[in-house]
Amino acid sequence: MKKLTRDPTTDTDRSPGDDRSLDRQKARKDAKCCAKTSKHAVGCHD
Amino acid sequence: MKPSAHNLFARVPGKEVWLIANPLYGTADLLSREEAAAYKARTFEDDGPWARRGYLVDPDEEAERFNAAYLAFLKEREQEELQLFYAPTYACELDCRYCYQDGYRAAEAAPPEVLASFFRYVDQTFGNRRKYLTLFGGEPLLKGDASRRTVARFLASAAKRGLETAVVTNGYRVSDYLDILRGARIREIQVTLDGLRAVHDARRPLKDGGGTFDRIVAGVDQLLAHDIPVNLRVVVDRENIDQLPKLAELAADRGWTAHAGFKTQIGRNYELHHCSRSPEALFDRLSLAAHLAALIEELPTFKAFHAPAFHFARHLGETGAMPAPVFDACPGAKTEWAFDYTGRIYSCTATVGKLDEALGTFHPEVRLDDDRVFEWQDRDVLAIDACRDCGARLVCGGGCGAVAKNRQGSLLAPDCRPVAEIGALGAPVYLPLDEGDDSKKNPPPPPTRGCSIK
Repeated sequence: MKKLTRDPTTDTDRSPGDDRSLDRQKARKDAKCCAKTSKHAVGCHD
Repeated sequence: MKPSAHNLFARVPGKEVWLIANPLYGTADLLSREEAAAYKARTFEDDGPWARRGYLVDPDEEAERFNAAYLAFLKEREQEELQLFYAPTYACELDCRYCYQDGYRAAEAAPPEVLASFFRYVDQTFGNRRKYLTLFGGEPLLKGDASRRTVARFLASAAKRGLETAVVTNGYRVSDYLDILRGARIREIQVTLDGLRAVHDARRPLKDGGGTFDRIVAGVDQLLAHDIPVNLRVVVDRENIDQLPKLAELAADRGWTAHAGFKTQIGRNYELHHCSRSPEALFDRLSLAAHLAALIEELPTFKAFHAPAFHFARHLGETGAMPAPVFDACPGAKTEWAFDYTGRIYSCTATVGKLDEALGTFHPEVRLDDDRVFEWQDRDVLAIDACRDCGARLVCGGGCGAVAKNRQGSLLAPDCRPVAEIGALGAPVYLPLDEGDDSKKNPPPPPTRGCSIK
């Protein structure tokens, strides 16, 4: 193998406080919440 | 351990080299024939290089990484700069052979109140977001005082808010607008040249048949002379692909290529809303990429005029890293919106002006169809069933929503891209390949035929 990139990190980059057990459904739900309110883009995550 | 669901694997055409990449793990490697055979035979060791490089994974760990990457993608998109298009008209003086808007009606100019309503809507809806505006059409730079007044008012209103404006124009009347453009906050002017004079004028003539090439070239000269950035677009198919090296030469001779404010894009002529008059002339994505790779192999200096992305290959070669995973390639109604002089709101430039695609209005009253907006905003590779088991999904991102809808009748359908194969075509252009065997070079795929628009 001829490496073109570094090896992957053993963990994913996340900010402190991110929910490490977050599953896909939760992620989708968050996305939908954002989408639903985005016509009032300001305050989507309030 | 099992092979990652996100491995991209393809032979570099004409070479004894294979490319493997994984956008989720951010890795890419070149493989020998023996290594490629081992990969295809799935003869892996759990603690060997395949696992260290993220091509052989623990499915649970991969699922967790996928979720984290998805959240990171969503979070990053919330910070992305919005692009807000405004079409002051659908009229145009040109009769381009492949125009996708040729069935649009071009009504009289809008009253000034519509523009005021547009900026009020921008202030109220996108107030705190980073954004820039783009004048679109139709053709925004038309002949006459009424059009000049509209453009001047638009640019002044944008500047008052500290917003930059891009202009997508056929370039025919750039010179007539130079006085207005010089004093404005212009991000770039996109103009289109499809070849040297004879070819360009045959593809993009005036409605009366007259040529447009000379005025457009003069306009680009003038824009760059005033340090107004130019994005030169070339719309290509099999009938003008041979013009690319000639345009590169023209750009170099006129000093465009050397100007810091000059860049290019190659647009593929394709069927968006209706069938092409010359379907046999159209490239599919892979065949266009093959032609561009062959062109650069023959003429390496072409890259100074245009350096194709080949999906992830250019980024990989330039940075030594894979691009971040793309869970959604469609910006429509997310980071892109389009508005027109009738007061309607649309998802993007592919839908703007199609009445049945309107998502609402900003004039005379503000009204959005929440359900239709949600359809667009819901679309990503998790929502599209057909993307669920596709290894290419984190580069392809599900493709264009408007194309998917036109071809398959649903926004929640994919507009697939052969990303591994296109990435491999870009490998000789951007990646450090060892000398390989050129004797079995693959010819470009045959042309696509027939229309896929429903």
